[in-house]
Amino acid sequence: MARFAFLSLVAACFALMLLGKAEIVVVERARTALLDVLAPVFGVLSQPAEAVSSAIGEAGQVLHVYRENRTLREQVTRLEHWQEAARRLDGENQGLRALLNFPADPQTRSVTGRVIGDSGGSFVRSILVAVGSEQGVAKGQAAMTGEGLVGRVSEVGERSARILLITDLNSRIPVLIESTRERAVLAGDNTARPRLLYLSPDARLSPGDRVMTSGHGGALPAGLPVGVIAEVGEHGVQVQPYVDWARLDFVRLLDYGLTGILPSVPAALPPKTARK
Amino acid sequence: MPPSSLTPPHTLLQRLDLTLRCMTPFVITLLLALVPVLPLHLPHETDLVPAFTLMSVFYWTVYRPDLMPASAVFAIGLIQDFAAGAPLGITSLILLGTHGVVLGQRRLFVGKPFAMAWSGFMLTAAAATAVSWAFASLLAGAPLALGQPLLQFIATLAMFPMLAWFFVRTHRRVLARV
Repeated sequence: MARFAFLSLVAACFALMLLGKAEIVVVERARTALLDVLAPVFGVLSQPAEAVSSAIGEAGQVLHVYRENRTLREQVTRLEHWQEAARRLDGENQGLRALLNFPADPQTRSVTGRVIGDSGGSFVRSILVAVGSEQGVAKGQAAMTGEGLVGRVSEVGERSARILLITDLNSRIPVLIESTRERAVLAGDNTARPRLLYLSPDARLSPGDRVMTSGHGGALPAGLPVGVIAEVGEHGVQVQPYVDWARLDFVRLLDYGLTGILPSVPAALPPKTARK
Repeated sequence: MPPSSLTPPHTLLQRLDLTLRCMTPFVITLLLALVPVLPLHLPHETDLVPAFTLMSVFYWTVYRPDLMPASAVFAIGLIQDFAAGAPLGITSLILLGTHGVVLGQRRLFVGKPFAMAWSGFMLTAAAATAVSWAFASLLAGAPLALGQPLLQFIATLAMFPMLAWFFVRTHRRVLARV
């Protein structure tokens, strides 16, 4: 009897693998439902974890405060110049757009969520955030920090969502190289540095080139910063993302009204409040 | 042996106490399944999360198999996969396999020095790492990088004595008379 139970459980594992692979709606619903159940648990558990890690972080920062202050002052001086340049260019851009009768980019709504869970396994790269369909989150939306693109929403519960990181094996993001406008697809491989695929053979790339989303495929808006090219070698082109994975506390989810290539599961509840 | 272990529990409180004590291994393992998902923000943390549930299932299958039935093992694996957003079924399969194999060999470890259990665990963890890598690669449709599973294996092996110490303490304190 025990043997039979054991074997049927093993069979259930295989059945689950197949069902998961087939991406059946029921499995996705179950995942979403469990996400909502687990989200408050993680919300509570992550607070002491966060306190500990921030205490460690603060202790480290005290040691570097003088040096950091000097670096920041230098950075402020440099960025003030950039700000001036950006304002001038923005004005010029607006003027030229007006001349050409070029429509403005669609307004974006965004909602910010606290990160309540890192991915645990060695085969997935995803995070959990404490916002869901009640706050207007939908599948396919881009997740950003101030630094750059984090990933995109892959599962949405009512009060929580899972974000597939750009480093995950299943992540494919259409990107382009800022300086050469070369198109490529940024493919994660579960390492810290995703790779560029489908580059044209005569592409001229060098480390330090900035990579941003291209907006092709209608999945993500164009121009979101992603990272810089870290290495061009025999093993392909590696990109170092701007995001600091060790300090992922909050992410901003952008809603550009793009439906994209991912079929989104209808939200259980319509968003209650509109955000700017 | 104290007399209380021989007398069946009578009052409701006693029975409740017994049930809770018996559930300890399952609850500990369940909590351990959620630990890897907590945002600890350690540098390179995602690369180095040890397989806590594997250690727990190994320990309790060896020393208290009656409190770690196959159904509990299955449930723990499933919840871990759900929480981590991993393909469903792999962790359950790995843990069930560990449970099944260890159950047949537990006489090798019971009452033997800790080094014996540790080396047994090393073999189990190596097999579990290899099998989970193979299945994850199969589901992904391409061979995955080996670096992270290997690091995880080493971290798991290194963490085992610490967690085993905690399990032994729990075992003696909570389950001594159960």
